[in-house]
Amino acid sequence: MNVLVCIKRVPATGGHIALTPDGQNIDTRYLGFTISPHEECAVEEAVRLIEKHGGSSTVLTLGPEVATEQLRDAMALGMDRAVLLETDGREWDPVATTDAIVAAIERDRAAGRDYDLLLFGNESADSAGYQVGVRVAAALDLPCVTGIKALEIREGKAAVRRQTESGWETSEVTVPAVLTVKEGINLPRYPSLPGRLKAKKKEIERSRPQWVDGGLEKVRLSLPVQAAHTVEMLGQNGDVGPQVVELFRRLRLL
Amino acid sequence: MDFDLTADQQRYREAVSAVCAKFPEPYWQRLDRERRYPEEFVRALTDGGWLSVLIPVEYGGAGLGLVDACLVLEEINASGGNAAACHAQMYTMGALLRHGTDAQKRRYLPDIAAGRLRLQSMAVTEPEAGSDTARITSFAASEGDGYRLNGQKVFTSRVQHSDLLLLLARTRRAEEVTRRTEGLSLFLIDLREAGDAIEVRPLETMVNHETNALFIRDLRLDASSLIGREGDGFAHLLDGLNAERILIASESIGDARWFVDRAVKYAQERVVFGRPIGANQGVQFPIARAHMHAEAASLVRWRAASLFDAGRPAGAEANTAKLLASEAAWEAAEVAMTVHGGSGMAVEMGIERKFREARLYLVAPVTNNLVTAYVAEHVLGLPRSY
Repeated sequence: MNVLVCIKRVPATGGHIALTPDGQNIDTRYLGFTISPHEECAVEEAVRLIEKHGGSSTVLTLGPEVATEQLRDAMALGMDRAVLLETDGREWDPVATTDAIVAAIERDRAAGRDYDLLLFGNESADSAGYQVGVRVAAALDLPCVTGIKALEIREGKAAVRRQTESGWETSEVTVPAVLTVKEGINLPRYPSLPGRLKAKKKEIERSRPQWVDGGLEKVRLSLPVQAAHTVEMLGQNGDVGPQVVELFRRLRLL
Repeated sequence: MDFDLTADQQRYREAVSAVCAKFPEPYWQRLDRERRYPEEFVRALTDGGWLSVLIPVEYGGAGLGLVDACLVLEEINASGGNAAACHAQMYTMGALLRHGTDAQKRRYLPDIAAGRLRLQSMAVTEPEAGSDTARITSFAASEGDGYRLNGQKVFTSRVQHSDLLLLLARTRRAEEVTRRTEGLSLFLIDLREAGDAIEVRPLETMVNHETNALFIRDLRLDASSLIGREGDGFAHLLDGLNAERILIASESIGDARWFVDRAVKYAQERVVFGRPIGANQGVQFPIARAHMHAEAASLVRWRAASLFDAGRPAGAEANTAKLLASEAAWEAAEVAMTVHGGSGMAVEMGIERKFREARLYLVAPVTNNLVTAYVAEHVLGLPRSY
């Protein structure tokens, strides 16, 4: 089987986020970069599928030249082939991104490479649009299941599970299909040293997609207001009972 | 001069750090309490290919240099772990690589690289011969087309967690050679085939480090066990010592980084008399000095490793790095202990465990006195002092 995984280079999560003065971008001068975590799980899932069923795996990203770092990281984990849709560094909206990815998939198809599964992250760690996977599925007229946390290939079909508030939702989907993956589906392996050395030598296929208009236009970014937490000590021991009751009344809990 | 790591080296460091993050403080504390070998940790490093950094590509390793190997060991110790459980594979392998025959290399190295075979143990020291290696008396007598080995070794580490043992023994008696360092030979022994001929008696020490006394009685060795030329074992061994010193220095630098990090964190968090204790010069200056000493040691270490990788003489730098790094680690250990006050003694803080571990490298694998004597004699041209 052939599996395609689309990944995005994002600033390493967990650090302090600052914006550029014009409010157009995250200030990435002091940040490290990584593969968006849901997509790292998608890469791991693809590597496992190919280990189990045979075939070939391709990792694709749309981004600047430096995003080859993330492509090589994915190859170090075991992906066979990498494709860079090279941009000039500006952020592409979901419409333009989808258009570029669909064109790349169609080019592969014309060259005789059909994908059985197209894996995306459920949402990217930076812009969290939840859109690209769904839009690619619509553009290619493929079935799509989002937010999956389990995947198995059985008799040419993909059996997938989504976690809901009340339990698990299980479905079966014919392939080819688009699946968007959520963290927790697996525990991604660490790239081994031999894996890294192999990845370093592999070719990365490149092309420069054309931006298409019609998507979202970014006005500006703003940081969320940090919620202020206040703690008020009403007193100590049991003598604050009446005040607690009064507070509950004020909050209409009583 | 370029003092920066390459982009690849940065990523190796991050990758090793990620493996180490799976083995946090409670893991090492539990091992320490149970006096157990870090099997899972060593397995994870082996599976990641991190212990085969120095094995050439043709034998299944990564074929990288000593600089890269230093990064691996430093990161392990900087993460709070202890690379002593597995560092020997890196430098012990060097004797086989440099002096083994093609057949020996093909027989062992691919399996070592793949993690199917462990070469973690080296037996040189004997009860009557510590730093004065030429005094060893273990003897491999020629017998048929092989040898018969008898003798005793002490402080032989990790022998219970290794498949192979590199051992130095006399093949000619000291009184039969012109120079005392002649007549010594290196052997690679398959411990799985040694049977009762090697008796292993564990030695308990103040750290969780598997080390043993070995009693060897009539161990039969094939001629193919000999590494390099018979009688030249001491010279073969010396070849690898610079690598060992530079790698051990890297572990000490990792230790120093860990102690400084912990001391800084505690000095910022701990509030006494209404302000963090780190606001006091008496607390912050020793931490800053320990940091500076570790940085200086680190620079000499990189210089030594670069020379080694370039195939140039590195004796002076390797020895200097070993002394400076082990002293910097010990200074940082002292500082971390002092900054933590009574809490430093508490096992759950982890300081006392690393404190005990860092102490070892002031005297091992070579005592700093002999390092100093080497520099005095061979670098400065002063008379031999021992």
